[in-house]
Amino acid sequence: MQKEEVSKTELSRESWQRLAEQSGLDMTQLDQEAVYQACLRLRALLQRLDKLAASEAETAAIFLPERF
Amino acid sequence: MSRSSVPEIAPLSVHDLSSMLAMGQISAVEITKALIERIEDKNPIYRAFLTTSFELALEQAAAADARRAKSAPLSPIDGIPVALKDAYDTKGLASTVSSALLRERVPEADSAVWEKLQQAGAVLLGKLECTEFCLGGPSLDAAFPISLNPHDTGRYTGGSSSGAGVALATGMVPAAMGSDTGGSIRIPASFCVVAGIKPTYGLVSLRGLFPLSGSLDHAGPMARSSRDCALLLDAIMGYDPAHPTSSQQQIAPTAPGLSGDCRGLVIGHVTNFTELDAVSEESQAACLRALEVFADLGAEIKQLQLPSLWDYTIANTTIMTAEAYAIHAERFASRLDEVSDLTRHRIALGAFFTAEDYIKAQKARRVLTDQTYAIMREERVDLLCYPGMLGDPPQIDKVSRYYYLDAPLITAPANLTGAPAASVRVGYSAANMPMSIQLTGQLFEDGKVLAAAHAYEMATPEFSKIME
Repeated sequence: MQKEEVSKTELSRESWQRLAEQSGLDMTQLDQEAVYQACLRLRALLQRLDKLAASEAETAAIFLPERF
Repeated sequence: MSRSSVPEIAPLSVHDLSSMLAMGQISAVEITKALIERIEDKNPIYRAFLTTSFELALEQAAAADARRAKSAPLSPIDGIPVALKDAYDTKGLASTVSSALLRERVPEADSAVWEKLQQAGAVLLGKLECTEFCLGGPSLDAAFPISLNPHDTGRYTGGSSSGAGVALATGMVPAAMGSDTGGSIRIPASFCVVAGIKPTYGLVSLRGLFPLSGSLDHAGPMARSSRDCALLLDAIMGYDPAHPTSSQQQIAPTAPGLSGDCRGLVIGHVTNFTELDAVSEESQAACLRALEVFADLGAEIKQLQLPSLWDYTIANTTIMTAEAYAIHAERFASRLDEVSDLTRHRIALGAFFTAEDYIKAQKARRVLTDQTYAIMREERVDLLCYPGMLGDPPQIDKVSRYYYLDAPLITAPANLTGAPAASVRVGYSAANMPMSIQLTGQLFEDGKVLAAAHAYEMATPEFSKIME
């Protein structure tokens, strides 16, 4: 349930607050509104990358067994 | 004026100093003493050095002179003073990455880059300020005072290798080592009017370089010319079996390939970067003028388009921030109040990524990298050229916490694709602020990038100077 919520572009303030609590960060040390707005901006920008690769595509991080 | 006077030595290049040492016109100890005097004079003003190692430097310089007296074959940088960004581990010498959290950190081993430089006979003058953890900046509340841009102390030096840019621009040192995850060599090189190259990913070992984002970090040289960068790169590159990202594919020394002309070279002008609204008209015009110089030097200029700069930027930013948060999460959970404002806000953003976000960015990285090199092959271009920066260095107190979400990061493509990328100064704006271009190449063609940068610098010597 929560995973579905946080993967949406429009991350609700409540969902973001839960993530903040899970992180263990002392949020009093952060400008919470600024971080929240940055999260929203970043998520909106991340949607741009959807057109580049399908969900089942390979990532750039490839395990190369011959290196070991 | 003696041959070892400070005003004479401070502006000299690595190449010039190397030639003078070879001809017996000066000793390494004389060079080192002159630069120590220069640092004692300039560093209280510009604050490029966090730690100095003058005693060690004089010992190393004396050893270099002793080697030379035996007429042993020496490397071109034997006896040349250098300084390292404080992210490089140096055995027995503080390596803080400019953070209060690591104030007491003294490594037990040297970084691979410092090992290589010692093997080549370099002399260590000290450790250079950088933005905290190679990310934040310019943080006015940082534990260590930030370096100041000698061209305008109210403007940002660029980061994260800020101390390196300032030490070079003020003649405190002829050679420095920076690192670059999203532009951290090229941005301060541009804003401080010096030279720098982010080498091909894996060409220079990252062992002992405090990580920001291991899959995007690059170690590389900064100097006052691309020829000096070539001499330094040749000394520090090489396969390192002790680090997993080090590449087994290596290249021939780059310095012997510097000729001063560009005949036979094909340079692709990336028009969809150049013409972005975010790029100032002055930066666009400077890039076009630089391309005319390259054409005069014999290069063929083609126009081409790459994927969107925003796509590179957001993939690079997502990977960098997620990896940085993974490195710092435990440290931040207990001591966030000791971290500067900009650094804690930028790294904290990584706490809000999902695995889906990170993997999406890694997939985009592979696709964008494939597309970039495919376009270069199809268009048959050796190098790409586009503006170094979007515009003038910003005022120190006007850099936003998340500037890379406000405008695209024009340095990001080379980090994401691992391409060699040099910052080349191309003049000054109407506000008398430095302007630059970026030259990037195919993977492992660092020599071509440096050869073109060197040819440009030979054709435009008026842009080369140090600040008195």
